Amino acid sequence: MVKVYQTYLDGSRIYTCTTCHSHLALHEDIISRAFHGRHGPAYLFDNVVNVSLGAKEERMLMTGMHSVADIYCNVCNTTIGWKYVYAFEESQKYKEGKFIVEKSKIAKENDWDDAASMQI
Amino acid sequence: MDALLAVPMFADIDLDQQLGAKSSHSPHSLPSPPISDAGFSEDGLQQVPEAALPLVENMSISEDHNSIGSSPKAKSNFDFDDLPKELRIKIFQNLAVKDLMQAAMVCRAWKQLTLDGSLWSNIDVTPYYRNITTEQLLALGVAAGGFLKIANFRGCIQLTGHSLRTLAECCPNVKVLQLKDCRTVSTPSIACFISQAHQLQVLDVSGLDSIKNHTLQAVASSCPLLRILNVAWCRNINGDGINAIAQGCKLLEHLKVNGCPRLDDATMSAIGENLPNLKRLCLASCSDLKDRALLAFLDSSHGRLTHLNIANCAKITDAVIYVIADKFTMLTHLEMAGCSLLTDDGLNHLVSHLNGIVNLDLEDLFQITDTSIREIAHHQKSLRRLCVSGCVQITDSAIINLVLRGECTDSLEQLELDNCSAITDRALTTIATHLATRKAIFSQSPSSDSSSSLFSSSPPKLNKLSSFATNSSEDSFDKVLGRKKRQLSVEVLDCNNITENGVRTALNQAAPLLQIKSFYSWNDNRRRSLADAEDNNTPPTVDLTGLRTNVRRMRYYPLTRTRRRRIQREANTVATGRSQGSSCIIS
Repeated sequence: MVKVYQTYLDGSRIYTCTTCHSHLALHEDIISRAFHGRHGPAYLFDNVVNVSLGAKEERMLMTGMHSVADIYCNVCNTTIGWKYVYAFEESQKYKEGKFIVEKSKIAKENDWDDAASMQI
Repeated sequence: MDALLAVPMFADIDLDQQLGAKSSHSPHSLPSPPISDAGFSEDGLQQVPEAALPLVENMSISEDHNSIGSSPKAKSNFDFDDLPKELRIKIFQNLAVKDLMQAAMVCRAWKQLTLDGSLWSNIDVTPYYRNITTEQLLALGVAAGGFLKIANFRGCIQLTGHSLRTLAECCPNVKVLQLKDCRTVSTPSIACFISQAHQLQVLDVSGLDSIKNHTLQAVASSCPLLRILNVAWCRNINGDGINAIAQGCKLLEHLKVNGCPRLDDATMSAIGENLPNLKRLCLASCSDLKDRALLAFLDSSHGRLTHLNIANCAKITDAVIYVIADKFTMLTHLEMAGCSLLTDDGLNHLVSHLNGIVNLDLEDLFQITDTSIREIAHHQKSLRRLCVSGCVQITDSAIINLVLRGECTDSLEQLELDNCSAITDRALTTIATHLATRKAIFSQSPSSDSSSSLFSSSPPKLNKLSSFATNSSEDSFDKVLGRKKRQLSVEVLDCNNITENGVRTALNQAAPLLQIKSFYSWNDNRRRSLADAEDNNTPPTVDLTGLRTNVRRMRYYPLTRTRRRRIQREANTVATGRSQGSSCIIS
């Protein structure tokens, strides 16, 4: 498995991958929590880091036909959701470029002043 | 800084023989007049490397100045290299890492100086972990030697087992070790380092698969002074390793074991019994943690916990909450997101007994109703953040009561109501009106300072609170809060009954004291950022996977005008339906 450098996010609440604890997104990047992914509830994020894109494919979702690309965690290679590349309907245009991340694959991480407590 | 003023006396003595040639450069390179400053400013030092480099070539000119420099009148410009080594190192201690690296490029003597151990007692590679090579990292570590106290190698996948073993031999005094995401390091190397790091106080190895139970046993036996341990999401450990830690590191204060499987009763009671100083415990996502185990911990613990995180431990029930309420009187941060078996009864008991909660996270506890919110409003005085997202039974009246009339009305800063379908515009507008009235009172009040008036919601209370604010040693008011303006930020994503009108009315009324995060505010930001992107002709952050072939083609042969026009025309046809201009593809 090729090892890549990870991006680290700075914020009070960070969502991390449940398998490998790599930072994925900030709480501020959540656009909506009421989405449904393949395996249950999912969040719509504005920006997700430490992921790589898979192949683009056309998929018929609940809201219509979309062009999506699956996203994989860089470190553990699990599929954590997908990215909307293109939306065929006008009403779904706001999703373009945004990421769906399944709730079962991410964990919420609270900072609790970790940086300060790490000092001696 | 008298030492610097006394420097002209040392100027005649050549302390470092090999630097004799360079002392002639210094009258050029130093800013004038140096002695009048209190000491070397960082700017002064920055100028030296850039100025010194061209002077190395012009040796002839320097010889003239050598003669000028030796006369006592001109020697009022003192020479950095004539300072004693300890003073030079002390000056370098004020440099940032980037400046130190630049200083190391000046000359061999300076490089030797920058690699002095005392400058590297804190190696924090966070700003440059991608650029530093393994050899450089090892060189830094070895140079630091016994001075190395804080070793923060977060994200350094280039750190090898060999480097860590070398560091193990050279650096016995490490106090803070941060190895998060150093995935190339093998288990024996980590064990080797830990077995000789007897001074270790902070250890963070979260996310590493190479940590096993026997590594934790090594930690327990070699690091008795350990205070902070983070083994979150290490997939190859389980309760036995944590048990060993509990037996060995009795001074532990912060423990994070997110995602650890098989935490059984024996482990949990060992944690409770053997760690009297435990202040922060994070058991998030330990999904097979049962009531019995947590009760075992609670029964044997010493009750000094301030932060507890049991998010996503779905098997926890109210029984545990009752005991938490009775035992942990100093609890300030409590995260229970996703513990969906909890109900109002447990929560009521909790909030009525624990008075100092600052952060309460009740996301997705869908059995919670208005009763709990009213209890929170009634009892909690210092609540700053409350998250009740996903608690679909919560209605407007409870929230209004919380914000307007609750005990925490002055301290509440963040309120999250995502996915609460019973919340309507009425809540937002009432909150906005309330905050706007406060703002009006604040601007009207003549003699009180800004901090006191913001805390009053009605004129009779104003006098009482202003007397509190003048007595600054009053414990009930957070001093930090008193200094800054209080803002309430409300999050209402996915609330079906919140309309755009409601959000805008509320914002118009009470901004900037009120911030509302909703789909509409995000949409505004998005439109604004897209408009900006169009104006600046920069490509917005839309993935161009479909257009990547065009870019690649352009790279391999030069773009003539006809080809460029053709590509633009192609891109235009592909990009119908998108709102950006075609120029973004070329740039």
